[in-house]
Amino acid sequence: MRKYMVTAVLLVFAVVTIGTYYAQASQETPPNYKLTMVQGDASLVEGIAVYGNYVSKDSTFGIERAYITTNGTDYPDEKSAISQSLNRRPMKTQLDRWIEEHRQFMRGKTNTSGFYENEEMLAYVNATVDTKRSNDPSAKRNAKLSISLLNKQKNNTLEITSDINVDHDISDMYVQNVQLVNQQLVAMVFLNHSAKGYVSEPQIIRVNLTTKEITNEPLTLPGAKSVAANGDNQFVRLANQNLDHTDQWILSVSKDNHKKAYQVDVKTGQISPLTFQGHEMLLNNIMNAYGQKIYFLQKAVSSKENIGFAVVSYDLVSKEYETTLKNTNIDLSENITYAFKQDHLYIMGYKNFKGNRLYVFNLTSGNLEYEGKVVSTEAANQAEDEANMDLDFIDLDQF
Amino acid sequence: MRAFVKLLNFEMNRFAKIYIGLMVLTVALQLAAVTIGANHWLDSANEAMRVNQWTLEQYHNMTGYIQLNSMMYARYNGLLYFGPIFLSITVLLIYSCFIWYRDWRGKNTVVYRLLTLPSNRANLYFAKLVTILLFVFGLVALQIILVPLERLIAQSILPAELYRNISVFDFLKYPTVLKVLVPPYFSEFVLYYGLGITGLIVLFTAILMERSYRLKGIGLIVLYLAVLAGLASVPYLMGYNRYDSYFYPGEIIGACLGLIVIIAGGSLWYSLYLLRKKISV
Repeated sequence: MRKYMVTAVLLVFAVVTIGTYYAQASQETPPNYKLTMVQGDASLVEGIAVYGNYVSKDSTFGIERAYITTNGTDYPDEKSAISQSLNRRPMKTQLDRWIEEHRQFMRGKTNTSGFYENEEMLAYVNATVDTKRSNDPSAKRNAKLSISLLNKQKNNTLEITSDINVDHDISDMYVQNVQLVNQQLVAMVFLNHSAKGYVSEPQIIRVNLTTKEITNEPLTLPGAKSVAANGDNQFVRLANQNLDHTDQWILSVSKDNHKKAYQVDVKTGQISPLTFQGHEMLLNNIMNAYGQKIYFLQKAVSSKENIGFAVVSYDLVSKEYETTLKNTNIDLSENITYAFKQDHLYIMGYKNFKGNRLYVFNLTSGNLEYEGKVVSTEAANQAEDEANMDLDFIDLDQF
Repeated sequence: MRAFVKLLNFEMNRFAKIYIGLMVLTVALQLAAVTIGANHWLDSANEAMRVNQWTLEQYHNMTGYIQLNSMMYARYNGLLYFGPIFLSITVLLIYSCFIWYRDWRGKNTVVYRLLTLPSNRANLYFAKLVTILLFVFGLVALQIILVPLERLIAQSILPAELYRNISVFDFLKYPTVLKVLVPPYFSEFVLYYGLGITGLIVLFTAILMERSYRLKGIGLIVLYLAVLAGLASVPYLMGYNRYDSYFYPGEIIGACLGLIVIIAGGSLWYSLYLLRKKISV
């Protein structure tokens, strides 16, 4: 028996040590947090998550990313690579729900802003630019537009693809929003020129679902450039929310530290500047469009420095302004994060802001409709665990 | 089973001296690295406090805590600490080939005795495979038990005001080669070492091809590797690294696991076939 000693000792040593290590490692889990309601309507936080960093004093790295929902906490770094790639987000997203319902149709479709959905159909518009480069600066590059359409009732699909020529210095194209007007899918697409400067150029692409004809209409922004010169930068942002149906797109354009806003009629493609006469300063605030209103989030409205916030709404039809929300209690200095979902504003602060609280305001009524708090579920170290959590992002499943 | 255990023990004893040497070297060099590192940090802390007239607390406020992983960044300590790990990996890789070829060496070649044993030849294959795996897992286990020892050394050299003890788990999670050798989660351990075992089976298959067909075997190995490369490219073709892949992540992962099983199973089956039918004495 002694002659087997080396083998037996090595076998037992390896199995016991590695087994004990992984048994102990499985016990070393960071605290579990939950988003709990203090007051209001709990349905407003169903299916959302708040993200933050767990800052542990005893860890080598000190910081671990945490995804917190009303059910508990996910630590993505605590998961295996396989588990991470299978569950990227802590909650079931709209894409997940569509994949469950229309698994075949949803293949390869990941850009939330490329979808349009109504009771009859689910449509997806995607634009890609080829990566081939030519030495000829005047050469056109090939871009491909693909449209997929699912008829929900008949469960059949329609695929339309078309090559379109774009300028050589276009580096990429992104579909920002898709609407349906009279059997026409109308997509707002940004073409990005990045060869000389970074210039984002909006275009409207129309797809006639009856004739399958595709047309693209460059949008000439009054006073803005559509071709990049050396050192030029022009950033365009669509203020509308993903997946919301609208007949007006609102574009915010930043160029040379100046901001301008434009209103684009989805049906006609007509573009007109939004001047906000007498209220031009609103353009320096965070802007979000929903329905026929544009909401501006103004920080630090109180006479005390960096305290409070207000939301001013602008009605696109009546052209009237209204301060729909004014709050002088919540410190909205730089360390806050916010997100709009339809006519609700979600606000949360960094650095243990008011005890890791999340507030949801209704922008129409101006009421606080939900107040929640991220709490540690472990009673023993609750206060310390909560002090170690630093929230910094609200995931409302909009992207 | 008895024949397998005997063969396993035979293979273990053949490499035991070198293996124990590797273990001793790893222990000695890593403990030395931590001792040197801790003393270096202590000296530099003393020097900084002397020059700036700081107290321990002031020094700590300026530089933060010293942890076990800090030791690897002092002078050539990284080489001293990780050197034996890389040396062990290299030696075991070379021995994975040599474990077969040594049987053919010398006048009274061992392979005659081994292949004429009145037992299933598969025992010979699995004895060699398990030998390499036991050596690997033995070194992994050694690394795990070395960390608490290293912590004790660092703790005994550095003052408590400067040193922060971290758990073995946190230390091994630090992104170095240790994170690959001892992955933080058991599922990753199974995945990484599953891939490693598949690689070893492929290597053994290539060696047995060469041993079976000699020069012609080289051509067969090239063909075999080309087939493996083709299979390995399937996840790329499925777009595993693309955000907008046609396939869902679960399908790509399923395909990868399926391919690993096919490659490992196919290679194992072919190796055993070669050992039973093609290699003769």
